[in-house]
Amino acid sequence: MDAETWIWTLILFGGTIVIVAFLMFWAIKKDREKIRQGTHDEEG
Amino acid sequence: MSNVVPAAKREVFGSRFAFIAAAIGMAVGTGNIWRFPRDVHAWGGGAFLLAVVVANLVWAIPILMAESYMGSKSRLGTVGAFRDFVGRRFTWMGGFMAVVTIAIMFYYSVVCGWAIRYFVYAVTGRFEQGITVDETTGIWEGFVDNGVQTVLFHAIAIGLVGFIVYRGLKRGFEAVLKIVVPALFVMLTILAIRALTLDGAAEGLRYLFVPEWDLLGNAELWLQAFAQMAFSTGAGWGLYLTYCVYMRHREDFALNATAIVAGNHLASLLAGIAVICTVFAVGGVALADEATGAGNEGLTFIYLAALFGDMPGGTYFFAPLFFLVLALAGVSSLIAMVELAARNVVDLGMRRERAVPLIAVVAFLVGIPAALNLDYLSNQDNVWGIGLLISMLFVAIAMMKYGLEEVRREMDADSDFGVGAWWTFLIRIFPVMFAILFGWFLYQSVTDATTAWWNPFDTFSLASMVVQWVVLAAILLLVNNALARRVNPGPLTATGLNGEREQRR
Repeated sequence: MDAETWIWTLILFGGTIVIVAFLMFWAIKKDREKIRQGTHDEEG
Repeated sequence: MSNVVPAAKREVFGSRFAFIAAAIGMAVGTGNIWRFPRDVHAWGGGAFLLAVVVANLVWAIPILMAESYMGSKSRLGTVGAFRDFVGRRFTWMGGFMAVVTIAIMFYYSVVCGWAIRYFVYAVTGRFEQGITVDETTGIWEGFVDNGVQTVLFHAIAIGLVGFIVYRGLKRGFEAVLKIVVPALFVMLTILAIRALTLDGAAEGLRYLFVPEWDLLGNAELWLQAFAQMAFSTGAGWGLYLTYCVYMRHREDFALNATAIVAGNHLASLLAGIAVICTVFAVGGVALADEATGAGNEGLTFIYLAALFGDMPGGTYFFAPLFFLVLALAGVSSLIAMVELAARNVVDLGMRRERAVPLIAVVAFLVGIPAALNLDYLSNQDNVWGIGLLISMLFVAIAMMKYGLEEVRREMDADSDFGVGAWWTFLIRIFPVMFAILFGWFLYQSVTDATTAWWNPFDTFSLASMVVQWVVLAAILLLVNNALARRVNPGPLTATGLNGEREQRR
């Protein structure tokens, strides 16, 4: 595979993976904080 | 806020992960697998991807945030949400959004049935080594020309989804989707890795990711990217609004919408790698052009089915896995569509236990013409697919009428990252973006020499669309007051907040 393909695959595909992983990590972390603070419904 | 119904009175998603998984399942559908790779290939690979990212940021995320606010605050389906947000006179807008998505549900169940049928074909080894494109064409034509089979698999799809939705949130769609959606990503990853390890896959990656910069100056590419985003993310369908009825108190708006759009984009990229790299590696460049030019069904059910036969491990592992992914992606979206219909019917006073079987039976019966006639299915796909753009516009109008600053402040208070002036700006300019995209579509329709745009009986004509939209809008306007009266009150109605707003209008 040529260098140009590697670079663009890393940016567009690798970048998406990193962003999704970061967003999911952030979402779950914040969720735990809200549960600790008791700001969600009891059912949650 | 004081107008939140106590938790004991309503079901909510058990965790944020389950909610996001369900919403990603709503967004990821057959379009991610068979339309996205074709669009990327046709529109310059990386350049198209960059345009899709922009479209996601400026259009999908703001609209999904707005839907999220409407669903979580009104705690009602699309009809009730529009009544309480925009005013009783505009209840029909929520009805329009609901009927557009329900009309898609009717034929989408047929498409899910195709995917289930092909999964069965694949599991039983139908795509054996050495199978040719002519042979897979014969299989496809034999299947779609056999009305008993297409209706049977349509019945299986809507029956399965009806059963899941019938069981409700906790025991039904939450329980299913929080397993199915992560499994979908695992399976897509396996397919992508397999495609990447084939000789010649690099050429597919090049097509997918390396931008042709010249194309970024092409207006058509941007319009196609916005169209792809509109159909793919679920923005404007009312599906996310429906799921947000079950959001917990003080749940985030901004981060969730962003995570869902990013998750949907990742699913599209994985599918793109799996499909495009397989086509390039096994079929070569010439076949890739032919396959991606053969339409959604042609690419998937004819060319890929044939290519799996030439791939090591294709017949008994990768072909079944691919069609299972296609079926699960379709089913996860169909669940959201049936739930949207159920939520609206339940809001009208029918018990869920009666509403869901009724919807499943109606969906089966109304979907039969699409199962028997591909032209009719294409017509419905065209009419209601484009109709989604109008639904999106209604969401933006609802936000502007309700008060953008007020909504922004409330979203900001509960969101995990700041909802700044960018959101109000993007919603304000939404009608302009809509006018450009819709105007382009009208121009294309009128200048397209292959269809008689003025003929309402032509499958892809503009007149066919406009007539069906106008008939729907007219009926909804006639029953507007009855709808507004009959839909149960929600928290906004009950607290009088909307009542005060109504008096001001």
